Amino acid sequence: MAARRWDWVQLLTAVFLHLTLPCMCQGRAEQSYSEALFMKFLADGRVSATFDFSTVWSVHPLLFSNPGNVQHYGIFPKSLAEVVAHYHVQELHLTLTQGQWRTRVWGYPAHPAPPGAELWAWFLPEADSEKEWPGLVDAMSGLLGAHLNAIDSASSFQPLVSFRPNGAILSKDMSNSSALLRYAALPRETVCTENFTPWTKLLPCGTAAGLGELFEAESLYDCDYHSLGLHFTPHCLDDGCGQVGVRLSLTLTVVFPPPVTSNPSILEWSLKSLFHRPLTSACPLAFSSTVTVETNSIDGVQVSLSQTPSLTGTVEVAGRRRDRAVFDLHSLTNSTTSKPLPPLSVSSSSWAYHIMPEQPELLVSRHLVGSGHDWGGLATEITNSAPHTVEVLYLEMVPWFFRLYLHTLSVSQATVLSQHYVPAKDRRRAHMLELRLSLPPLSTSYLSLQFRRAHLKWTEHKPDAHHGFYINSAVITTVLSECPNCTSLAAQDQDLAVLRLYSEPLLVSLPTPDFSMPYNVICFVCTVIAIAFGSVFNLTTRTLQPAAAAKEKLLTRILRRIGVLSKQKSD
Amino acid sequence: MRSILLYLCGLVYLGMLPRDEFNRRSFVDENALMVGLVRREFRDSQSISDYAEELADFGVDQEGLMVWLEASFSRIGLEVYSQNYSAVLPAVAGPQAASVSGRSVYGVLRAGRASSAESLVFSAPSGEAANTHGLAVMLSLAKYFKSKNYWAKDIIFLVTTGGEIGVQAWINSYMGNAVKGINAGPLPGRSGAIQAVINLEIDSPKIEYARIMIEGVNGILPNLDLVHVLTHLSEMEGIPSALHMGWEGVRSHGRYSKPDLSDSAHKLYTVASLMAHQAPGLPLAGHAPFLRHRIDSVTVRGVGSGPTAKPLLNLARALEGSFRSLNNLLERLHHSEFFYYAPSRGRFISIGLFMPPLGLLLAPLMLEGLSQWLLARGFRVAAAECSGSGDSSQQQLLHPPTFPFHSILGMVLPSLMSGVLLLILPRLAAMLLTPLGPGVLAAALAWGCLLSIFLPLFSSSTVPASSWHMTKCFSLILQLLLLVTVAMMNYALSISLVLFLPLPSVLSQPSTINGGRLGRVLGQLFLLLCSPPLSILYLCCLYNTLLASNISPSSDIRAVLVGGVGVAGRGLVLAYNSWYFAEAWLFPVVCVVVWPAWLMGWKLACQTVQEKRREESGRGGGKPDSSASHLHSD
Repeated sequence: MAARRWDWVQLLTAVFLHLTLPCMCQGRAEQSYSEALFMKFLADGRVSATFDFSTVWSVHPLLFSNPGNVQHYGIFPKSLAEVVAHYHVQELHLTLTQGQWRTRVWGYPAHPAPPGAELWAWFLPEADSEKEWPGLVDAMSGLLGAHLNAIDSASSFQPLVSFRPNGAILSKDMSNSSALLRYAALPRETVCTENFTPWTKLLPCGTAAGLGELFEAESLYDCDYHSLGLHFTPHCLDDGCGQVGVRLSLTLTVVFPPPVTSNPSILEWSLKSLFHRPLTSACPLAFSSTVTVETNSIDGVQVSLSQTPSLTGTVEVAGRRRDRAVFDLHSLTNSTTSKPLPPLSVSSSSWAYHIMPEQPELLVSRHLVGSGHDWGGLATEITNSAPHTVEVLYLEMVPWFFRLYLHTLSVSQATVLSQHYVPAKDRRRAHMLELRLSLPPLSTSYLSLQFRRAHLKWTEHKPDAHHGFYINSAVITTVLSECPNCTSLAAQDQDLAVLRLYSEPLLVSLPTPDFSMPYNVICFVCTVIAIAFGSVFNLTTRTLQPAAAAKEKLLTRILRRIGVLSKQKSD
Repeated sequence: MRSILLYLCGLVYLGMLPRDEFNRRSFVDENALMVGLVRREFRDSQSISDYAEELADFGVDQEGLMVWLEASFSRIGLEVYSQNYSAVLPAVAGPQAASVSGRSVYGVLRAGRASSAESLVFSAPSGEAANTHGLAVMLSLAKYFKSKNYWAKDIIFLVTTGGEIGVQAWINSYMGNAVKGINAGPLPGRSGAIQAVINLEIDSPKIEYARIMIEGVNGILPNLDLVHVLTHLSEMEGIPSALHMGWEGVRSHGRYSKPDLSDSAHKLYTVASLMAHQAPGLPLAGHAPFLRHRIDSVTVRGVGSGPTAKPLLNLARALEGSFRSLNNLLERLHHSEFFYYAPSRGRFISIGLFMPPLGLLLAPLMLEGLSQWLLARGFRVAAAECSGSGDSSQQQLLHPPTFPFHSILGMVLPSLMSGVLLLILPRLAAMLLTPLGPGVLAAALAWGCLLSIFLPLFSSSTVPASSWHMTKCFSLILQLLLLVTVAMMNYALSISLVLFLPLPSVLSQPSTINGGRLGRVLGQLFLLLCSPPLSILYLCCLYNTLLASNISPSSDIRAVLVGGVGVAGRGLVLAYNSWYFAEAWLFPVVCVVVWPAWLMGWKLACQTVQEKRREESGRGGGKPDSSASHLHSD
């Protein structure tokens, strides 16, 4: 009897599965997930690792925005999907970064990001962005455990042209307005495992299989640069963009210190030595799971691999050959079933610190001018070492308590093609200056702008008031036709890559009150005034008239007391 | 008499301050520093001596040294940049060339976990004074720091040439402030806001103690916490530290030993030494130009190579600990004091303690000013005394003040103009003769001084007594205000002015037409002896004899004077140059503030006061004798 009942249960289960699977599979069929890791040596011997986990889902973004239209999320993270749908988001970009990408030495970044947190979003055309933005900010800070709720209207911006939608454009109206865009950055935000863990939860395989296996917080944060990214965009499913879906790309860029060996001219790394974890499998949900190693990143340095790659290829980037070796995790794990992958190790010979890389064509650096607590200035240097004119967008965002003087804006070398300036309003809106510049070939252009520091109310100072206040990184945006210094895995895919360069954020000190002293000072000053000033004032302003009283006058008594008059003997 | 008493009280009070009963134990006020909490791990004494050996080969070849430093920094793995600068000195002391040019090399260690918003500077000058071992310690620490990943702030390793001008060129370019006279090249690489600077100068392979120099341009001091971090950590590493020839330092260092001095005398000596270095406000060490930009900085100078000397490894470990402490900082150093004197290791005198003696020293000016005010209004002491004794017929009447504007202007304007003349004279001299030597500079100034001194003597005028009193009141109050203002910015300068300026002005008396000729001449002589040029000479002699220990105190007066004149000459050139390059106020302040203040007193002393009989009789009820002489008979 018992066995028969068991059969029934099995049968029912089978029928149930048979009925439900097709629709689940259908849901999954519309989703495709790929994971990729791109490793290369940077010019100063550091090793950069760029992870890219992307999910493409063929649901139209407008349908997606209504939760009723989507029943099954499949491998798409539901927590994020709900946020996107609830706040009518068309595009969402969030990066959390520790450290500064050193473009001068490392070349252009694959996923540019300013230090700290950066969040920008385009809302759907029918959305009320003014209303949705604060909610979205709060939801994202909850989702990734970041301190994004510090973003308010005084730190949100609507750049006119610098941040255009990255993905497919849904309606033509939005192409020339930034009413649906919100941008905010928090340069002081620190990034740690509390952000990283929720981020890994968004991966289909988490840290259980595939490239996620490599994630160990200690090694990922003990490095020279660390940048988490979350990019949600509408995505063209075919060439003509007839069908539009959505794409979620989760990125992580890590730069490790140079893996020096006992022989100073040999660098050697393996996935195990960098990440402190072995790679044992590919994510079964991914249709492609690859590790790519660039073998000739530094000129004159030979790189050898311990393992034969599944595929080798050469990419032509700006007339220079870049050899890449691709390891397909699916095929590797199939051939060596249930055994860990043989550790991939890469070693390079004849390496030395003083090999200076060829400088990328476009560089930006910004610094503070002036000392003291009154006037100050921003000085930006933009170098164009390309042999042709380059057009760039320059975006400067300055908090309201720095009073910018636009008439002090001076631009040398470069020509200003257009200028868009939004002045600040105290406590409500920050300054935003957007310039379209034309940089002459082989030139360094200087921009400078003066400001004065405002006095904040004493309750407006943040904790650690003497630390100073940050000014967001300036953003240089340009469209590159070729990308010789790109770190990206697939620079050639994105024809006409949009390149963003972020300058260093600035730390500026404001006049800070001594929060403990006012009481002492008030008491002290009042006492001094009461004692010293009172009597002196009395003495110097009083005009005395002869009086009948024979008593010694108050005045002489005071004088005698304070010693101005000598006590002569009255003879 | 009362004035002198108050003044003496002030001096005694000031002298008592270094005693332990009058000051406080120092402590770290900024908790984020966590001094000495981390284990100091640097052990590589071999690399210090290797670097020192390589550096010794260069000798005076500065350019070769800079090229080697660039290569060494990049071998360590720092971002290496350099800056060229050139400057033309307006004045020179000795055979030195007037045009200076050089190159500074700096390497930036980028902190991996931070965004280059903050930085620390580790500087070591190279050039006139040999700093081979300082550079060696810097390089081996740079190599060690590079291997660590705990940095939250970038560290800039800066090697400058050409003394303070090289540092000045670098920091001014970094801050974006161009200085006239220095032609500084652009800085190709930068980091963020500089939080603190440690400047290292060592010229021997072993040191007995670390001398910590704190005085910046215009007498600005670094936060006491920074000083404490360094003293505390070097103590922990077994290296005694001292602020200047602090007495522990003096004791450990044989050459300067003064065994006859008692403990409290040593403390007084240390404070006097600190003040003597602070008062001029000239850049005397490599860290000084940074303080001008409100960046806390100190110079650590390794001194001595006696039998008890310690290897440099200990100092390097102390520096490692200091940088790690500074790396912990969340905010700029702001908790502890910015105005302090340290009489000995571990103790400090805060501003609240050292201001009252200054008040006592300045009180005579205030009280005398007030009494002159009353005198100008016809107050008579005799009358007051009489009325006190009940004689109602002798009532005194204070008439409303009348301001003798022409008299006050006649005193203030020429004095100020004389000051401005002093300021301009060196420039006029420079048109004829460049570069200016100390002799020419001094001659130009002396010419201006003598002109200003002799003019009032020959054009002495006779003024009514009330007008004289009012003018004197004005000049005393003006002096008081000037000294108090200077004290707010540079206490030591104010104290050294107070030593000579107020008493002669307070005690100076006018001569009446009838008599007091001797008293007048004596008063004038006293004033002349305390005039700013002579006071500067006395201070230089004192400094040279007692503090710089170049001459033994027992040597004859001639040696003392010659030494003092030499110091004064070099000081004059340094003050004049620093005014140009480092924005040091000493030269303009002495010319436009101190000199006119004294000159006002001098003009007053040269005036003759009208006999008051006619004036007084007009008002009725006056005694025939002058009220002023009554007051001053005291």
